[in-house]
Parts: sequence; structure tokens; C-alpha cells
Amino acid sequence: MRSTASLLRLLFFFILAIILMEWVYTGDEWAMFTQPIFWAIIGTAMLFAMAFEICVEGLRYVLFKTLNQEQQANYLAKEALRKKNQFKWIQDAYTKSLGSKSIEQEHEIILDHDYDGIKELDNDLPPWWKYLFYISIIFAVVYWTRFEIIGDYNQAEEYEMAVAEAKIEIAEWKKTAKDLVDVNSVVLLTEASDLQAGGKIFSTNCIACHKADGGGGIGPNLTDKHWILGGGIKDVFRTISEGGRAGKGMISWKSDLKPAEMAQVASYVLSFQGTTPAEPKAPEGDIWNDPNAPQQTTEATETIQEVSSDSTAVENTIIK
Amino acid sequence: MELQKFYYDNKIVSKFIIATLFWGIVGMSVGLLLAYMFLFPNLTDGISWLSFGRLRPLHTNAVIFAFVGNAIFAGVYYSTQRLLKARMWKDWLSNLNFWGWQAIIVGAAITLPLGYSTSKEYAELEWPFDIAIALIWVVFGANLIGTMIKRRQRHLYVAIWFYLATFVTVAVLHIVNSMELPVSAFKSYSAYAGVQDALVQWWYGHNAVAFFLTTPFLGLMYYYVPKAANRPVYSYRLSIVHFWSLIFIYIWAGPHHLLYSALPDWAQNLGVAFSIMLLAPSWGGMINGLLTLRGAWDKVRTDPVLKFMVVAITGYGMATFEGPMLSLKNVNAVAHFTDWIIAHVHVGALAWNGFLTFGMIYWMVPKLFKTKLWSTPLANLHFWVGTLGIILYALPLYVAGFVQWSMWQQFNPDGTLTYGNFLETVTQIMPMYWMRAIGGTLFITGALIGVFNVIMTARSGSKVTDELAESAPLQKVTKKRTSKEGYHTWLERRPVKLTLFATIAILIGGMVQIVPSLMVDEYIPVISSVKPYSPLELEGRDIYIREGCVGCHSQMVRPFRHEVERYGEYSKAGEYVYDHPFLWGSKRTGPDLHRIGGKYSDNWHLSHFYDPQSVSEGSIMPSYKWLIKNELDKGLTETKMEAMVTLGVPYTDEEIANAQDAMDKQGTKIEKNLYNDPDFAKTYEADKKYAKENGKAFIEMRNREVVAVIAYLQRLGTDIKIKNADDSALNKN
Repeated sequence: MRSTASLLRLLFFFILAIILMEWVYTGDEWAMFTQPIFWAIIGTAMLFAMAFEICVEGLRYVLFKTLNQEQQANYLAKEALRKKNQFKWIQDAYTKSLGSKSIEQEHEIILDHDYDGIKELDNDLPPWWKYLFYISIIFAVVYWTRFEIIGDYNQAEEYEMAVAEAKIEIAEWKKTAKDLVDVNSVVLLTEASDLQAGGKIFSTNCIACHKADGGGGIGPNLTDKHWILGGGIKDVFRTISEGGRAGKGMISWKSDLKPAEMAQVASYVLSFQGTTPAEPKAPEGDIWNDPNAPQQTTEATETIQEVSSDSTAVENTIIK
Repeated sequence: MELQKFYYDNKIVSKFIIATLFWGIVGMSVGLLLAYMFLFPNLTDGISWLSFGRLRPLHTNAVIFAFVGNAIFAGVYYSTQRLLKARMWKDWLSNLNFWGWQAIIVGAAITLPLGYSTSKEYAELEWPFDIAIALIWVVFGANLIGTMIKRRQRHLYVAIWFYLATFVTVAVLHIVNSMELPVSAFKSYSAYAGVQDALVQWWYGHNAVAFFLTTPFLGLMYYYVPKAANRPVYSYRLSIVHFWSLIFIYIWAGPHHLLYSALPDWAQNLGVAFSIMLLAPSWGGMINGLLTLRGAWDKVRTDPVLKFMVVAITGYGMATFEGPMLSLKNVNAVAHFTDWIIAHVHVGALAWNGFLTFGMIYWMVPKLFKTKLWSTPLANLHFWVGTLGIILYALPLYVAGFVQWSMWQQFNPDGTLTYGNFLETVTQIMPMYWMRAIGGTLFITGALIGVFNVIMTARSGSKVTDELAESAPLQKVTKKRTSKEGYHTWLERRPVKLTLFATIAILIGGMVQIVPSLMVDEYIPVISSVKPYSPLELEGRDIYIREGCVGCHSQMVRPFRHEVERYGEYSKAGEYVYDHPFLWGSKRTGPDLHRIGGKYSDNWHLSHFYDPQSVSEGSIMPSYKWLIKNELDKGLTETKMEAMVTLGVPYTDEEIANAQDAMDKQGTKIEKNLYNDPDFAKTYEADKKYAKENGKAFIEMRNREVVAVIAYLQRLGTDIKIKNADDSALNKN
């Protein structure tokens, strides 16, 4: 165990053991972090490995002692030679992969070129370079054949596959996910904590257009009874989630905010009703009062349908 | 045999060296300023000609064409004379080459900040300059070929092959890519549109890297490395094989800049296949350079010239390994549009071009001034500071690129983006931008030390004079010699054939890719709902080009789930048919804009241009206040539309005749929309009143530049997305 080789062998064994253990373990997480027994097994195995190393070392020593002096000297000389040449193969492999003449032999391959004193050698193409070139050509041919001649898949199909895969994953996730809120299930939240959270979201994202007191600026006044896209919790939620009229400013927030957050901020927005802001903007849209009255096809749904009929169709279906 | 006496022209070399160093410092300083603008976006607040979008092309052009360009000329003029044993053909051509090139650079340094730009990367200069570049380039080529004809050295050395290929290919690339229709002294439209323009541009852009930054420098390497190391070139055979394979294959690889774009799949696949094959030919140069140093490594430890060259060649090896890897579509999906690419190109520019140039200059200057280098320790300091600079520049940006991509593409389990706000992904990599700026500072510090050292060396030496040389005149090759010579040796005696073959080699790839895009009718699937821009949108688009918006914003939504989720439907080839030039961009410092139309209100855009941070806190976009003040120049609108008609955009005569009216209408509509914001109404009316009371001229909002830009942005990507956006908006008003 005193030689470098022995320590290297132990290290190699250690790494191998870890890889093997992780491979055998079927759980999702790392066995070494979750299973204390992992280290117990590795420790035991390492003890055995060390014992083995010690035994081999001892055996060698005992056998060495049984030799007579001449044999011992002979053995030592052989060992020394072996040690001296142990890395020679790397050197040899390098030289061979280069395929070049050594500097001492250069005079054999120097060409009679002389360009302003620059000479040229006639070394072979380095074999590793040549094979790298061949391999890259084969790769190119295979690549071209795969995608152009056989027509494996193109980037549009690749996109469709990614979306289809994601769709399944999301559906799977939704089966077990808790507290899912969407436009159909959202209800007005009245808990102080929810409204507080909603207020916080409002002040980071919304006051640029609607003012801190909801009085309106670029966007409409949120304190009056007038609503452009409907003033029920579901309407407000939908407007936040999908955005307002195209090109009119209100953008879709569904990629910035989680559904629960949108429910909170929608509830917060509705809590402005009846308050008096400092500089109220003139009312926009129609007076909205009866949530149960049969709704006309509003423009909002038109826009959404329009959008979902082409561009973001995929994503919309995922949300649903 | 009788020896002929002649003189090498050293003065022209020293002129080019001075220009190299001068423009190098200028180009790098502009780059450094840009690096600090990432950290302090409003560093040059309100000064239009110092804004990021206008300075970025100045930086790239100054470094590529002024710094590297002059370095090429310096190195080529020095080595060619010696390799061909002849003075340059005509002194007046040499001087015309020098002064013409400097004049173009000065012109570029004035016009680019003023916003005269075609927006095509590394080809931003407007048409008068394109013509001037072509002429001066031909002057250079004529001088080179003339020297070759009166040479005293029978065979052409590998460096000369590379110079020849450089001359021919750059000429072809520049001329084809610069096909444009002028509408005024400093404004033109690319002859190609959309996908075709993108293909031609990146065939050019990629091969500008190949034949302006690579092949001439390989030629320089083949002269200066063996000279400085005093060692024979490692393998003549490798020179031949890698020269021909490099120039043949390189030209095909352009489409790897457009992977996952709207470029047809087959062109992309061709780009990938050839990019992979490019690895070995590129590395051939690296191997031949490094192995030439075999037996001279002890010198590398002490000689700063060789140190610079070793790092240069190593940088070349790294960049040319990375190149093919980045051409794999799955790697490209990560790196494209991020700072990874910025890191990649700077390894090439700072190490390969920068360090080889410095090494070459440190070697030449003492010889030209007939003295020794003033200070070797200072040169070593330059080397170490510069190397540290390269590392500090590149590594953080690799991390930045990867981190930003991983944030872009991360989804929540419910299918929404984890980082829906683009800005979050920018804020995250700010520390990396800091490190990059520090790395850049170090590199330029090193360069300044180098300039100082060169000046002191020149002052300690004597005046640069013509250098006497002797050589036997060109002799007839004997039958005995030619009977045994190989094919390539034969070719090396024939400059015209060599040039011809090199030209054929570089034309094949370009033709296979570009010709179908111009000839085949169904190359781009037609989308009937895509219509030409309205006159106001066209004017807005020209301002978008002028301000260099394309430097930070792409207009190319790739077909990835996360990009479609973030920006909207992925971009289709048919949407760009009227885009002369295309504006796909190559970097997303800000978000993609192809589907920006209709996303925000006109007010949002106005506030955002005025003060981006007020709308998006922490944004690193600079403000564009001058757009809001400037009056839109509508004097050329009809001419522009007519030019577009010539290029195939179907404007009717009626539309052109009514252009002014249409602009007024659309501008008024946007102005009316802006009144939606009570704050705007208040301040705008106050301004108006103030101007009236004080008898000052007042530009109506509808006539200002910003309104045109808003019109353009609101139009972007809407042709296939929300068909009735305008109708519904109209109904509501």
C-alpha cells in the first residue's frame, strides 16, 4: 500500500464502487446522499481492497526473501527497468500518432525549398489528423444522408415533438398538482394575506399604467364601475392572464405570474371598487354590474379565440 | 550566376504598422466603451452618435478592417517582397492602397456613428464606401499579382497561396454581398430580401472570418513563425492538403449562422455537414504552426515574439474547434443569440488576430528601424497582461451565455416559463459583464504598453529606409528538375493557374447554396397575408436600421417550445419577403422583436424610448430621447418606395403617390393613441402651448421619428399572428 500504483488502484476501485452502487440503486436521487448504508458498503469494500493490497504486498516481500542474493539483484534490476520505461508507451504513441521524423533525422526529409531562408520538411500528414479528417467526412456524409436523403426529421417536426411531449408531461403533472386555479375555477379572495400578496404584485407590475391607487394612467381607471373587458373576478383574471385588446397595452401576464398570483392580484384589483383615487381617469368601457346576466360575446373572447386559432394555439391547449 | 540588386520597400510596411497600432487602439477603445455601456447603459445619455447601436458596427469594423486589415497589409507587404525576391510591383499602387484604405476607415469612423449603416454585419458601410473598398482591394490585388509576375523566386511559397486566396475570395464576397440599390448619397437597400439576404449576408459574414481573419493570417503565420523560430516548416504536404481543403470547405459553412432560423432545412444541413468537415483543415494550420516550433521551445520561454505567436496559434486552435462544435444544431440552440458567441469571436480576435499581429510587429519593428526591441520585459508584460485579459474576457462570457440560455428555456411544471420576464435573465449575468469589461481593460492596457514599446524602439533606431537585397534573376527550370516534380510543385510555378484553381474552389460552395435561393421560385413558401410595409412603417424601419437596433434585438423566433411560449409563433420564411435588408440579428442582449407588434401600447413604447428604466426597472437598454424630439424626414419616402418597387416589392403607383397622406394618417392615429395616457396629454399640450406662446416652431408628434418607429414595431410579426388587430382596435375607438 506504500507505492503510488497501489494508491491509484485503490482510488480507481473506490470510484468504480461508487459508480456501480449508483448504477445498481434504482431511486431517482443520489444514493450517496440519501442512503447511509451506501457509505457502509463502500467502506467495507474499501477495507477489503486495502487488505488485499497489503496481502499482495506481503506475499511479494515473502517471496522476495526466498530468493538467493543473485536472484534478488536480478529481480531488482528488472523492476528498475520496468519502472524507467513505464511511461514510454505514451511517448511512443505520441510520436507514432504524429508520424514525424525526429529532429535528429530531419536532414533526411528537408526539401530543397528556400523561401527567404525558410526551409520546409517533408513530414507525413500526422495520422491522427488524417483520421480525424476521414471521420469528419464520414460524419458529414452520414448526417446528410440521415436528414436529407432518408429525411429523418426537420426542425418543424422537432418542435412539434417537443410540444407534444410537454403536453403529456403537463397533463401528468396536473393530475397531482394542488391549488390549481384557472379562469373557470377562480373565485374572489378575501383573506387579508391574499390581498396583501396581491397588493405587492400590483405595486411591482401594474402601477406603471394603473397608478398605485388604481386611478389609471396609460391603462384605465380600476376604481370605477366601468370595465372594458368585464369586471367579474373571472373577467379580471382572464384579462390579466391573456392580456387585453391587441395593441392596446395590457399584455398577457401568464408567463410572468403564477395562476395563484394572478388570482391574488385580480382580487386586489377588485378591492379598489368604490374607493376614490387622487386623480381618477375618465371612465372607459361599459358599466358592469350583473355577473349572472347572459353575457354577450365580448371582444376579449374574440381576441383569445383569434389568437388560439393560430399562433399560441399549442400553449393555450396546454394551459387548459 | 549574376546577382541582381534591388530594394525592398520598407517604408510602406512601417506606414501600415503605424496605422495598425493606431486603429487597433481606436477599435479596442470603442469596444471597451461598449463593454461599459452594458454596466452603465446611459453612459452616453442622449448623444445619438455615441449610442450603443451606432458604435457597435464602428467597433467591429474598426477592429476587423482597420486593425486586422492594416496588419494584413503590413505583414503581406513585408513578407511578399521577401518571399518573391522582388520589390512591390508599383510604389504608387502601394501608397494608393495605404492612403485609400485609411480614407475609407476615416469615412467609416464618421458615417457609422452618424447612423449611415446598411445594418448587414461587418458590411455596414454604405454604398459609396462599398465601391471604394472594392477599388482599393483591387489595387492591393493588382500590386500583389504584379509583384508575382516580376518575381525572382520560381516557386510560390504557401504564404503566397494564402494571400492569393484571400484576395480573390474577399473580392467575390464583398461584391456579391454589397449588391444594393442606392436611394441617396448614404442610403441604399440590399438587393436581396429576407431569407436570401440572410443567406448571402452569412455566406459573406462567415467567410469574412475565413478569408479576412483566417487565411491571410495563416499566410502570415507561415512566414513569421518559421522566421522568428528559425526552424523549418513542419510539413510541406500538410500545407498543401490543409490549404486546399480549407478554402474549399470553408465557403460552404455560412448557413451555420442561421441554424433553426427560417432558412430552408437543406441549406442548414449542408452548413452543418461542411462545418464539421472544417475541423481538420483548420487544425492543419495549427499543427503546422505549432510543430514548426519543435526544437525551439526553449526560445519560446525567452522570446516574447514566439510567446505571442504560440498563444495566437493556440487561440486559433480553440476557436476552430469550437466553430464546428457550435455548428451542431443542438449546441447552436444553446449558444446562438447569447454571449457565448461573443466569447467565441473574441478568442479568435484577441488571441489569434491580436496576438499574431503583436508578435509580428515586435519581430518586424526592430528590423525596420535597424535596432533592438527597446524593452523585452515590457513586451513580456504586454504578453502576460494581454493573456490574462483574454481569459478574463472569454471565460465569464461563456458562463454568461450558458446561464442565460438555461434560464430562457426553463419551464415550470405547469408549462409556463420560469423566467417569463426576459430582463431577469439579463440581471443574472451582470457580474459576467463586469468581468468582461475588466478583461477588456486589461487587454487594451497591454496593447498600450505595446504601442509605447514600439514607439521607443522606433525612436532608438534609425530611419526606415529601402533595404538592399540581392538575388539571381528568375531562371528557367531545367527539364531535369521538372521531370521529377509532383503536380503541386508544378502548380506552384504557375500563379495564374493557382489563382484560377483557388477561385474555382471557393466558388463552388457559394454557388450551390446561393443560386437556388435566387432562382428557384418555390424556395420561399408564399404567405398571402404578408403585405409590404406602409410608408410610415418603412420610414420607421429605416430608423431601426440607422440606430443599429439589430445589434441587440433579433427578429427571428426559432422553433423551440420556450421561444414560442415567450415570443409567439415561430418565424416563417414567407414573412420576410419584403425585408430589404433582413434584420434577423445575431445577438439577443434584449428580447426578440419579431412578434412585438401589438404586444404593448403605443404609450408603452414612447415611455420606453424616453426612459427604458422607468418602464422596465433594471433594463440595460439606453434611452433614445432624440427619436422623440427629431422630426421625421419624409423627403425621400417616395424615392425609397420606388427603389423597393425596383427590388420587387409590390407597391402600386397609387400607394406611392399617396405616401405623404398615408404617413400623416397613420401618424395621427398613433398620436391619438398616445393621448390615452393623461400624463402624456398634459406634458405634450404644455409643450405645444409653450412653443406657441414663445413663437417657437413645434413639431407635431405625428411628424416625429418615434412615431414611425412605433408604427414599424407595432406592425412587426402581425401579418400572420393577429389578423384583425387593427379592426378590433378601430371598432373600439
